[in-house]
Amino acid sequence: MNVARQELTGLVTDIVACSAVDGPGNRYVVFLQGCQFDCLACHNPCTIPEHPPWLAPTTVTDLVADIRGAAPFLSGVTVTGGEATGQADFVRALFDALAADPETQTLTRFVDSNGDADPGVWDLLAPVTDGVMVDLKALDPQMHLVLTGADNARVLAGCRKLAASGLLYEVRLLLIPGLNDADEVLAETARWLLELDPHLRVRVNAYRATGVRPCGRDLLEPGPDELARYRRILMDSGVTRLTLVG
Amino acid sequence: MSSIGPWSLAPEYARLVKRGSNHLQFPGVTTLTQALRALRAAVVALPSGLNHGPAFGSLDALLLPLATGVDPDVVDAEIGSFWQELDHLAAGSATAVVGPELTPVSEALLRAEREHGRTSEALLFVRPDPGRDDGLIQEAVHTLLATGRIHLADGRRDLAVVRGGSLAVPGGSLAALSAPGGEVPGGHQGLRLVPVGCGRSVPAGGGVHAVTVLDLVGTSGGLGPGGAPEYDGAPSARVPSESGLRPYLESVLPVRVGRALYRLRLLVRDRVEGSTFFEDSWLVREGLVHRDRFTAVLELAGVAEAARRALGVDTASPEPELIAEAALRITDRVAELVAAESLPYCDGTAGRAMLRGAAGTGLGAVFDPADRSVPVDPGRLEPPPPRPYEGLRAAAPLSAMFPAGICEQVSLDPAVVENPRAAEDLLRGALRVGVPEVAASVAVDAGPVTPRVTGFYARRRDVVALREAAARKVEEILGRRG
Repeated sequence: MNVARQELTGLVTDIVACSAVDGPGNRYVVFLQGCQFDCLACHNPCTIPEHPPWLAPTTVTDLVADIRGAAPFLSGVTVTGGEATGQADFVRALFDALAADPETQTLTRFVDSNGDADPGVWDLLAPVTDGVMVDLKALDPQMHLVLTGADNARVLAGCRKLAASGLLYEVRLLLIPGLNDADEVLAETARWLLELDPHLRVRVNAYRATGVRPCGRDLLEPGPDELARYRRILMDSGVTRLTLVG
Repeated sequence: MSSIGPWSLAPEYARLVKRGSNHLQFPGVTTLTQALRALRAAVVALPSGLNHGPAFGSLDALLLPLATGVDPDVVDAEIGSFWQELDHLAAGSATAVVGPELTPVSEALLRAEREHGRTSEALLFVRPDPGRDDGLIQEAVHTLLATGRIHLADGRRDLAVVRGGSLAVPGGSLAALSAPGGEVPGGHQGLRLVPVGCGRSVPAGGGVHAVTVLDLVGTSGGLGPGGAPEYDGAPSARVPSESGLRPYLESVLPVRVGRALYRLRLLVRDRVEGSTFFEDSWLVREGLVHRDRFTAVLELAGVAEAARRALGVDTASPEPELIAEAALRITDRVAELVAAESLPYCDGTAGRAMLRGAAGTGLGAVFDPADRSVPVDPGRLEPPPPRPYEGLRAAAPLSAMFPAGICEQVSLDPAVVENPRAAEDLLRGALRVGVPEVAASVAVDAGPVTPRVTGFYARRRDVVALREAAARKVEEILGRRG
């Protein structure tokens, strides 16, 4: 990898050096700054602005050096955000560097994304990425617009492309009672996902009003009954690899 | 005679099974059923004054030859039943080692642990082969998440060597045994050790006469030589200073260690000369324990707290590397002082006491749900909390100085229940960087911090405020016994 790419900088909001919730195994998680969505239920609203004044750029070299220290304890590295693909060149350079470094090359490289990226972004990342986790806010375009402020055409196309290339590791559903958790919506979503991959991992994250902006505080949180219903409907619809986090 | 004999014993159960016992009235055994019956009989006949239950060492090595060719269901049932019965047969917690491979014996023991639940007192040490991925470590983590009582241990814990005059766990690999400075007592190929409890090992075929605790921070009490005033270093500044460490190493520690060794000498004499164990015990008579494989143990408590105080820093010091370095120097100095004193009846370790890390190394790892932050208020962003693995990395070199054992405790994010491989990564990593023994439990009380789901943040400043208001964290409490 050439020096110029190692010196490439990205806007990194924060690091979680050991995470059990961002992909398989224990993972080093890089939160990138900036997201094109404006989700009602966003738990990291501080990561939405693209260039907040308090954030200094981080080089690939510095990040890899830090990951090296954690490597013996990890399964891999996950880049999330914000929206990871918003800084796709940086992610590619980081993954290239991790793949080239003897101390980090065995780590798997994952992206956690809202899925809203051009096909070219996935083509750029595919050669050095082991898996992508997509947060699907809603299958219905109208509901997606309500929840995120954006259309979901690129998200759905991205899911199809990733599944076809074997990179779609998991789809994550953030369910909010009354908005995107109706029985028929869940069943339809499951059917659509299983058409992409009959063995697809599906992870349900129940909405919690933690860290959200005022616009999200009045949203309902699913209770145990709702969680049981989500499990029943998704499994009845054929989802076999289901993780449900309440 | 008034004493109660040795503090701990690690009889050679393999020899017992192979040769039989006149005392227990059975010949050498040839079947798994007979072996388990012999072990049951031996457990019941152990001396009552021991401070732990039967320590079997490697049950894989002991039982696997007899289990070969037996119906797997029978192996599973017989070994599982044996392991669970120990709760009723033994006076203390039984310990056994499994590994480095996943065998019918280790599978049966781990399954018994899971099925028996938390009522069991027994403790399994799993020693995986780092180069092998045969499912043993996954089984161990699966069991650990169900019971919280599995310890993962490095194979190096089986041996202690003399290095620079002090007993130590071989560093890096067993090749250290033949390295310069790697002399071994009595020309043996190292001192073989058997775990008898959490972070606690004793010489195989021998035992420990007596144990005493040296609390490096608290009041050590009055016996012995010296009389120097208690160290009065107090946490105050946030800038570490070398000026307090040197007098602590040169003036305070010799007095503290001298007192502790004096106390230990009295305890050893009492345990040996005040009892007829070595004259009368069937274990000695039948060659299952040997008088020349005994030692005494000095347990060290409060190393990290002593390091902080000597450096003059508080617990929130931003200089963890300096504290770890000072802790290492303190432990090294204690080892040096212990190596200079010869204790009676401790032939197993050439007259030296063995060191054990009792508590308060304070460098332990916490896989903390609070370790997620957000710069919602950039002006008030607190320094990041220690990363879980940093404590393990800091503890690794320190651990090598405790041949009698030390166990790092890791508190796991509750999310590992859904993702056990995360726990496996962390525990495997601990062994990779040189931690000799690691145990883990799932944090059941994450406090007011929301359980971690992807994208969920806890505000670091809130966590910091809570830490300031709440009781000090477990790893900073001194005197906690393993």
